[in-house]
Amino acid sequence: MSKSVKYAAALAGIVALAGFAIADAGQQYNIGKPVTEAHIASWDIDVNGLTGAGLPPGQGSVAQGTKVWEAKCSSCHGEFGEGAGKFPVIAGGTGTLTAERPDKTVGSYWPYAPTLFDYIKRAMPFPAPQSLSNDEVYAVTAYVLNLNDVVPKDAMVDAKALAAIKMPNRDGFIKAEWDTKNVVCMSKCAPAPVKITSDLVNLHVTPEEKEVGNVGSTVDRGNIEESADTTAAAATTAHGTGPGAKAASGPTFEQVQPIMAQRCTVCHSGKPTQAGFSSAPMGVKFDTPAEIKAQVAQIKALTVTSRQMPLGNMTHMTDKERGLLGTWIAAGAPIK
Amino acid sequence: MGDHELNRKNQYDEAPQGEGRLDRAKFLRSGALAGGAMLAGAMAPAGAIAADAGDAPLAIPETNKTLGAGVNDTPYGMPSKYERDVVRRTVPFLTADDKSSVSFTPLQDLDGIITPSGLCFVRDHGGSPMLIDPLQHRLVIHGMVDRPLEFTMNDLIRLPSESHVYFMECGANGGMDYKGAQMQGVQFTHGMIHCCEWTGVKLSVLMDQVGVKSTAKWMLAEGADAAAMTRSVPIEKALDDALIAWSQNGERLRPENGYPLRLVLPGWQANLNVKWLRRLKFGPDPWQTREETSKYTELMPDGKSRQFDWVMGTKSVITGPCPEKPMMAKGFREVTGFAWSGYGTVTRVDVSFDGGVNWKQATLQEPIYTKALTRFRIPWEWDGETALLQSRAVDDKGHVQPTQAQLLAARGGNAIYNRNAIQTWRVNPNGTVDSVQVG
Ligand code: HEC
Ligand code: HEC
Repeated sequence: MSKSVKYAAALAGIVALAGFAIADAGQQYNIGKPVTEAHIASWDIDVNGLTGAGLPPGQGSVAQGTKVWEAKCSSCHGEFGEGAGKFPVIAGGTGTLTAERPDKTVGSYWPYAPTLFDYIKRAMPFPAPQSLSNDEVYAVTAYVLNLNDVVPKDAMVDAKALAAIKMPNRDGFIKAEWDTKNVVCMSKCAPAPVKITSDLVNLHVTPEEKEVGNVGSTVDRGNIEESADTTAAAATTAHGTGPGAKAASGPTFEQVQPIMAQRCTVCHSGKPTQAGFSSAPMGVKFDTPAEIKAQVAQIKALTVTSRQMPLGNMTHMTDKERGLLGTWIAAGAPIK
Repeated sequence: MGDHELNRKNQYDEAPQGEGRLDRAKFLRSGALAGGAMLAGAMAPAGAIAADAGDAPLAIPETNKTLGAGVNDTPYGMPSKYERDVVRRTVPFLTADDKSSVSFTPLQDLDGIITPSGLCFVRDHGGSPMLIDPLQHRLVIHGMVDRPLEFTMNDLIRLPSESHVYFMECGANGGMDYKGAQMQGVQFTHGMIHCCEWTGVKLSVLMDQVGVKSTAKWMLAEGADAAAMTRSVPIEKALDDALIAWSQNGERLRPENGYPLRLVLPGWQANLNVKWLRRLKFGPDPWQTREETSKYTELMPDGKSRQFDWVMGTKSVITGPCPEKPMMAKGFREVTGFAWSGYGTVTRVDVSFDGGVNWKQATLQEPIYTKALTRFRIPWEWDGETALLQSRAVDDKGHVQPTQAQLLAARGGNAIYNRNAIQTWRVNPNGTVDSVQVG
């Protein structure tokens, strides 16, 4: 397996039957149809990011790419690659990789330019993948590279040009290895009592979408990985206020009771008012403060954590209200 | 707060027998809840409790007095309607579009080690193709091979096959909590994982058929989805334990899990286990696709990124209790959860009730398979005070699951992927359970 490609290719021709191929030792079942390159050409679209091998004939300019971008990409990724809503940001972020909140884009993060061609060709535009011609892919690749100051405004890009580009973060990647050293300690492994460093009781991120908007417009970003990233940043910020501080000035029962009355008691009452209910479902009633207090664990699990209640959200409970209930319960569900 | 307040049986003592339940049935039948989506999100039942009438003599259940359903009323069986809250869930704010998004496995509701196919988490980059006709589907194997070949599904199932139980975990599982606790509920902190029995042909058998050249060091795997998902796999893994699978838990793959064919790379990041597999190409170098450069790489504080972090780290989590399964009463409660390692076999799990100061060894339940979820259990007598529950897994290669502080020190807070830190659940005196992190 360590022989050079050239040597191997030459040898393969001569001694193919001598078992030169590494995985040729096993039984041959004569199953499967032999195929030619012409037969599989339409599937064989991969481009090697490092070498550019597989880049097809064709070319495109930044100017041509502007047209493709505006017609087929900017609705999601923004006119200048800034990303609309939560769709991925494509440009900017240079020099932010060591920042508290890094901006990972084509320009700041991607190590290889041919990868950009490969990805756009196979997967973009998101609603209509594999609909662009090779020239269109070259052009919009040039446009994205120009947005990121990797090629000039008058650039024309083809296979050779793409393979020759050195992206700013080309040398930014290292091979991962196991990188932690915990031990099997059984007693007195940490100073007691342990300190809580992060407590999400006051940070209603899961899955209270609207609350998150309040934590920071930061989550209005690309895909799940990026969001994971930015909500994490939000968590740190939110914790700056300290869980204790919030709990002390937490919601009162006066705030909680009307919410329960409006969102739950229509069903969970000795006399339900919700159509279809003649008695409290499963006998669960929230008519009195004591009844509410007695069931806070369940109220939290079903309303705040899993949002299974109110049933089908028939009573239109808001995320804010769920958050308020959660904070109240976390603070010990004070009734006074 | 007293014991009795936590004892939910008491809540129903005075409930008129079964009335609420009856009303719900009526309510549901009335069609007021539009569609299955809402039903799916609806309530956990507590059948046993509804039937509890304190000291009253046991009633003869209706089911003893009436005939049940016919044997083939549901030709493809469905879970009891009382299990309708046991479903995958998603967190809409995480993604811009549900076609490039994730739904999470309800780990809190699973027993044993197998994930039922319909509950397996789904992470797509361009939606799940639902209409791939197995008769039309083809697998092409080419590149640095002696004999490029095209296989139909019928070709593949003629080849010798194997079945193995393996977990599959998304690289982003738990990634939202790198910097701080954010996801409340084990479904969201750990639910990007499933464990199934996979059946298929060893990839090495297919490599024999095409005659992979000795100069080929890497393999590209490509999907037939709208993302045309591509990942590079080193030849050593391809030759080792990789499967080309068409079955999951004894039946053909579910569409959202790759029907009719997927790559299975035991213990490796799920994204590499390419679904709807249509092409394998052998070559000299990794392809450096978008999914192994822009994504699935871990940015370190010094600005460098860990790449090709394929193996999912040694990890565990307690699934009972957890935020979705609060404590119902003081006293005895068995604590249970999952442990796993992409490096091999879980050999040990320890559990702490005080946030990692002192630990007790848990029992591992048979069967224990390599690169599969392993079930652990440990008895617990809860005194009603605040407790900090943790679990710590060890594998047969000597890896010990790191603490959150250790992982943060090694990688910083922006790495996103392959977070295998010890999870802490805080059990509060009122029985609720929260996700927290300790220093
Ligand atoms: C309907 C919205 C939409 C449109 C239109 C669209 N994209 Fe995308 N784009 C996305 C989504 C969603 C993703 C992330 C997909 C994923 O999660 O794998 C993405 C990802 C990308 C990425 C990778 C970003 C990264 O950092 O990894 C590039 C580059 C890209 N798109 C370019 C384009 C180009 C060029 C076009 C036009 C030809 C286009 N997109 C049109 C939604 C869109
Ligand atoms: C539209 C009517 C309706 C509303 C509004 C409603 N529920 Fe329920 N709830 C039900 C039904 C029906 C059940 C029984 C579910 C079952 O049998 O599976 C139930 C069951 C419960 C249970 C008992 C679950 C168990 O397993 O013991 C709790 C606790 C609960 N609801 C809390 C709440 C809370 C808190 C709210 C308000 C935030 C709420 N419900 C709003 C209809 C409702």
